[in-house]
Amino acid sequence: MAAANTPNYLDPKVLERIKRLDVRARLVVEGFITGQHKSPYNGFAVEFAGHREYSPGDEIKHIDWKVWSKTDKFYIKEYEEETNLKTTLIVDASKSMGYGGEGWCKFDYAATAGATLGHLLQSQGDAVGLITFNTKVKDVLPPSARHNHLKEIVHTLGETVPDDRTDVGEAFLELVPQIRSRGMVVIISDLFVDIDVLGKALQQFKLRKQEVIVFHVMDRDELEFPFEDHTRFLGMEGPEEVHADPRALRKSYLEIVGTYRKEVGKVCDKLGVDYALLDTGEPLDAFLSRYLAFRKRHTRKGRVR
Amino acid sequence: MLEFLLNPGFLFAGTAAVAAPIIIHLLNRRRFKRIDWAAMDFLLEALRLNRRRVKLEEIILLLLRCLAMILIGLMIARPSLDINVSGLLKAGQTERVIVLDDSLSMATVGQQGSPIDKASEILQKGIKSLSNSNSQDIFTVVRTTDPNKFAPNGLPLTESSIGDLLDEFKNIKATDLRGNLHSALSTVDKSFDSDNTNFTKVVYLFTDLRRMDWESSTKSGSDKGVVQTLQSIAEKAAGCYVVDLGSEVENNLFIEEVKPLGKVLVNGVPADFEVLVRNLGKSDIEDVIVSFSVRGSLPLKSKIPRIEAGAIGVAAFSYTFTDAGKESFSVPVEISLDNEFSKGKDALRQDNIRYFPARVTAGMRVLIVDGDPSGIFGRSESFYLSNALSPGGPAISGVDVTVLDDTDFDSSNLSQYEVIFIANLYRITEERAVGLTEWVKNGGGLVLLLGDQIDEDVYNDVLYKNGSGLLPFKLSTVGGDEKEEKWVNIKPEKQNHPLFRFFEGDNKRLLDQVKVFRWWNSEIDENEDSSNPSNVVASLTSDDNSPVIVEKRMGDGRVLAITTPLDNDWNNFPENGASFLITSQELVRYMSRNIASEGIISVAEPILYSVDIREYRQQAKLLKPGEKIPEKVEALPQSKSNLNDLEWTLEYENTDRKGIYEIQFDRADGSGVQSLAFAANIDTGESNLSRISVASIRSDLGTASVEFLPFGSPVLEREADVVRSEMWKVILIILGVLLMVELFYGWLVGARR
Repeated sequence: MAAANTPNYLDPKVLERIKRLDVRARLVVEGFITGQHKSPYNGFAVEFAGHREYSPGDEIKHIDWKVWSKTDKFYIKEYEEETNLKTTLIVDASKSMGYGGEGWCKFDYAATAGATLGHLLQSQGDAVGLITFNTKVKDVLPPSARHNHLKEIVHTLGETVPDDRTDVGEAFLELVPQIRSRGMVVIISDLFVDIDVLGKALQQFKLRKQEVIVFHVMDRDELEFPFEDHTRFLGMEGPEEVHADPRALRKSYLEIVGTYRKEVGKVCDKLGVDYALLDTGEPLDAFLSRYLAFRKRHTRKGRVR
Repeated sequence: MLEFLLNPGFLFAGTAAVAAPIIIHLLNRRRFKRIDWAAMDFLLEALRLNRRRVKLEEIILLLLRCLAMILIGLMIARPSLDINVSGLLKAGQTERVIVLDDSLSMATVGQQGSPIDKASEILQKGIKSLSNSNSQDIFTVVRTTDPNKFAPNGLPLTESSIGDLLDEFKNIKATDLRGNLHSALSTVDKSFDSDNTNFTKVVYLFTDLRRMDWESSTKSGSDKGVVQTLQSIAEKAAGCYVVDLGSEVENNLFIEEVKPLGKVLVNGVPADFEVLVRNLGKSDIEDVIVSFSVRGSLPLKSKIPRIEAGAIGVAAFSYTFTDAGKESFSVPVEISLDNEFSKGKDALRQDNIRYFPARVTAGMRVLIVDGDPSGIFGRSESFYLSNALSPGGPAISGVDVTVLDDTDFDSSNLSQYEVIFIANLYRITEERAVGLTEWVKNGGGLVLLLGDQIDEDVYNDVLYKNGSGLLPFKLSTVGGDEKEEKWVNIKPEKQNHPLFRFFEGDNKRLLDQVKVFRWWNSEIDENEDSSNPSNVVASLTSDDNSPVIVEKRMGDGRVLAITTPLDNDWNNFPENGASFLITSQELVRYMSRNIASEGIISVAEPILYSVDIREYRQQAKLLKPGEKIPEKVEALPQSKSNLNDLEWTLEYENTDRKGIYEIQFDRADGSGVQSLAFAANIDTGESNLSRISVASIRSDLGTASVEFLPFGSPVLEREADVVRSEMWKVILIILGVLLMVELFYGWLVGARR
């Protein structure tokens, strides 16, 4: 039970005050675990893989006492880890991801989500990798279960600044062949890209037998378009400008955004890709819950529980 | 072009203010936020889909706001248009101008009351109705008997003023005055030109439609009659109504004149009067009794047996005014119709009474200037004449004779005499001639008796003056027989001349007994001033028919020149006894102005009286009819430049009632008071009650918008007929609707967004 004065590290407003991504990510996980949520480890079965002779230093709790009763010898149980899954986090680092409120942009949210996920995966023994991209692949960290690898992931995410444009099509073309082993791909992006291009890219992953989950990051402003006064909107990724009364365009804009989300959802659904909206104004627990539910459905051997 | 706007400047201001919403819109566009936006594609798509609609919405809102500014300007500019607008939409204050005929004829008795009573009823009802509806109107009243003044003028309807107005209208009465409808309407007409206010004017004329009022001649300098003036008003006013309060009248009887038959009323001498009664009805009237009451005493009565329709009947009276203690005095006389008929059917009874100021004197004041006085009995020039005019004995001749010689004559006050005889006077000074001329022009009667004493050159120079002077002819030589062995007779040149009344009929032969031995020949210039021609009254039977009596009128008086004296020298006329006496007296009567009828004025005519301040004090007291306390009045010098002028004038203008006005003068020597009466009578024009037809007025009015209202129909309550209405209320309502539309549309646009 969380202490009364413990901040809710799932709340973006709290998180944005924490500058270090690794701390942020850890706090999210702990908050998720110790707060209102069950242990992420619960429900994950660990299959018995075999015995080996006890060596000094092994944990007493892993001694198989049934074997000792029969053999009078000490043997340690070895478990085959459930998640021997390779998860690659693909985080959008285009300029549009730099949109956000004071001090907290979409990329910060995405990075936090990614880092958090990394923490979680590593805790489960999964291998996690990272690829950041804008118009091309920026950073590639192949999946690894090493403890230090997460630090590298968090560091990379922390150092990444959204920039340039977004052209997922070209970046994915580069990405897909780089993910050699089967595993899970988590795309965290604002998906400002042509639907067809997105569909093709996702199809590419599916053809390579990847499990894909798409987290569509959108800023609260992008979702609600709350602007009232006359505003000049300057495009972040191009020279376009729109000078208008936002109230005159709100309804239409929201319809367009809603339609786009639906279309993205359709594409994902058609390809069997899980899709979830990440509202940067919402706490991260939804993100985590979603991921964990997805994770439950997909095991190393492809069993769905 | 912008006459329909009361404040045209504000319309321009409103039009200029249209720029305000546009400027605000442009300023708003300059104030904006800048946001770096990631989801630009979505925004661009939204813009593409809505650009046209958004622009249209903005334009519509801008237009609505600009229109609102124009309407605000238009509303403040206060347009007024020729449309009927009634009820709540009626804007602007209305000035109700009442033209009220309160002349005597409005007292005519009718079936539903007199016209003035009807006017009172309508006005009271109207005021009550307007006060109940919380009207913001103002009231202006002009009366035809006081046509140059508005009273009240622009009085708003407040709690206190409503009471005052109701009292005023309740108490209105027909006055004794003659109305001047034309002047009253002119006053109203001119008020439109000088009016700086923004009131809508509605004019109501309360009239009995008497022809005399509507067909009155225009004053000099004005080219509009009554109907034309009404037409002019109707073009400018928001509404113009004529309220017909009169009715056809069957009968009206009235006293037209009270006429003394003599020229003077003499103390102790019977005076004869004729009272003229006119019947303006459609049927004959019988047994009209006229009452003649002196100083409120029991009246004398005289009956006129029958007065035909449209004709005059005459009642005769004889009365002797006597006051032994006074030489001259004034006596008020009241003459009235005392008739059962007049009480029942005479439409207007206020004209059945007339007043007469009987100014009684010791006699006609005659001055004889004796040019050849003599102490020897019968030898003076004035002897025979003065004895003929004022013979001794108990019978009063009615002539008060004063005889002066030439010295006293030069300094005498001429104004105290009615007739002056200049008997054979040698010379007359230029100054005296000027005084005489002035006196004659003011009504004096001058008789020049020419004998052997006169200096013909002086007379020709001073008195004849080439035909422009007092003497009707130029003197030439003395004609006739010096030895008086031959004579001629006198023959009248004019039939029925008063001077020869005695010699009419059987007495004609007595004229032949008058022998004229010598006379002055004269020359009458045929080309002389035709405005004052000389008339030969009688001439001699000489070869050349030399004129013997020649008359010349000058101003209000006359001059009679006789070419032979009346002293028994050149003729034997004075020896002819009765004929000379009677003729002398007739001469005086003929030459005298009618002082018996002096002092009669019409109601509203000012009293003007010359006061000799040598005899009377400047201050006097005047008692108005119906009053008990006299008011102080004062005679003032006629000329400010000539303070030595001894003739001062007392002027009194407040003669608005009929009746006797008595003035008391204090004698300068403190010996007592002298009273003088004036009688103010109604103008008999008001007695002519014939009506003008509405059709003829309408025909003359042409297309002018004048509505004729009969008695009984609503007058002041007619809100809906205001022809010219201010529109600001309508515009305010439109503006309100417009602003609500703008508000709603703005909300709708916002809601859709």
